[in-house]
Amino acid sequence: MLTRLYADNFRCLVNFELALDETNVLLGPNGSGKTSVLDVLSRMQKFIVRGARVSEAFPARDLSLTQTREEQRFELDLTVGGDAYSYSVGIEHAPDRRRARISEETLRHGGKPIFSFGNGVAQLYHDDYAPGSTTPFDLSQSGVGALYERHDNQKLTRFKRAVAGFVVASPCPPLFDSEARSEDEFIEPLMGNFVGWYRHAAQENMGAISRLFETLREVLPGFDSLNLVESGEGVRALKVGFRRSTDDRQVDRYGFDQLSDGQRALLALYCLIFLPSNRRTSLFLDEPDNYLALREVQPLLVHLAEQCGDLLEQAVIVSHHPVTIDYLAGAKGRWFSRDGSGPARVSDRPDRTIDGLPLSETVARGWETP
Amino acid sequence: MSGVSITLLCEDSQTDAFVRRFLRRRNFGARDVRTLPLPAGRRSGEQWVRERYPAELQAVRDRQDAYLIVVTDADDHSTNERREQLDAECGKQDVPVRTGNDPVILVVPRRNIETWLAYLDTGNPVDERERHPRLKRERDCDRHADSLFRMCHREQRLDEAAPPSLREACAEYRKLQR
Repeated sequence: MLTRLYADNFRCLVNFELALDETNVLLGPNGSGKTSVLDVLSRMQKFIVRGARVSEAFPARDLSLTQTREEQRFELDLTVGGDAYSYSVGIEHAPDRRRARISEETLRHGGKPIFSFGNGVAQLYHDDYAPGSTTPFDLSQSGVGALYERHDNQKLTRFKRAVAGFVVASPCPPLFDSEARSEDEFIEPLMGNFVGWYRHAAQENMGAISRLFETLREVLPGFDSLNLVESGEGVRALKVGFRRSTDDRQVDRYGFDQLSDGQRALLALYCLIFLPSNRRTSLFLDEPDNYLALREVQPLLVHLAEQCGDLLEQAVIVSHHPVTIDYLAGAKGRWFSRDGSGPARVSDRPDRTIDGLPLSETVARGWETP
Repeated sequence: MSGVSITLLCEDSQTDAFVRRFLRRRNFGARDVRTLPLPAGRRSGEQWVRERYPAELQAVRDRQDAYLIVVTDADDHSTNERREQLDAECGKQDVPVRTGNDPVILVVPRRNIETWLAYLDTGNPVDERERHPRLKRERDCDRHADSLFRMCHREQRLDEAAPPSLREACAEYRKLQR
């Protein structure tokens, strides 16, 4: 579970720190930095576990416009199976901003280093914290990410698996493909490859399918089942079966693209929750309540919260939806704000609440700030 | 498509988590229960519930297939005093008070939901006047909900040590038919 994120000199995130629990909702006006937080996580995952080079994951165009510094810094604190990990990386962009290099990268377990990199040299450690070899290292790539799993670096491997378990997505059903040529391990930011992800996840978690279908039957009236059917060489199309009525056994199979945006959003979101990968999934969802009928929002939030600690490691969502605000924000809100185009700030409560008004109404009036 | 079966009016997210977990065991899923906005602000959750209660009572009377569950802490009051305060609020808002025919389940934990959780945690007697600590994580109430469900359904009776306010709540709960 991600317990803390720190980002400095990334868009509106300047010396920015966010503490997180198992379930949180990120709130605040448009442009207050909520999506930038999710972008940092997505980029950290690409950098640490998906082999992206530093200039690809953190291009200079994302340096804060309010800063003249060329240095960026990112930190993640995680708990994995009760163990505390702290990861940090410093990045230096060249003055012409065409190149970037890693100035420092450290991973600690229980406060003790298990990987450190600086001045072009990496210090490796064994699982008992004893220093191992030192080795010159590529300045453009994560050293933590580049290390292969070995019997004596299991602590580092567990950290990488936890970061690999981040699912950062902003569901945009009009962009969902209805078929897939490949099995995709990672979901794209707008979930366009949802069917490819489902192909992979369903294959990996066949045991979880019945629970998924059971839940979908509860939340999606008439739902019967999902099927992947051959649609050309190596291509699978997703078909969704619906019963004509509760008493009717006749099942009509619709192409995924024949469903409404809301139905596709619901299906995709419940698949993310109930089809976990082998590693524990931490969901970071940007406005998952868009496209959903009013009736469906609170049940989604209930399922997200209930599965935390069971199928999910963590669920953090960005939302402007009144139902979400009224249900989650009082106890689990993280309130973002900015003064003009200044840096983003965050608090665990709004500056003001109005007695007798639902929180969503206070926010709708802009009265949560002085 | 049918509407929600249960509207839940309660003071905080811990109560919501506990009630939902209990009801899930009775086959009321996430989509069957609608929790009304939770209070946020300096005023107490009790006042929030009390002021919304008459309108919700009136609303549920118009439906024959739905229940209103109200959970409000007794705090320093007796459970009867809390019920009377709810009736008085109905009077203020010109809504007829609850009768035995209304599909309304009125639950008053004393001192609050944490008292019940403390009892369900060990099964030992608890003093309803004392404050009991909050759970570290709301979801940890799952086993407490399971204990209560076991007593209410499988064993058909509460343990001897159950606090009086929980006994009253169980009598109210018997109204829930499905």
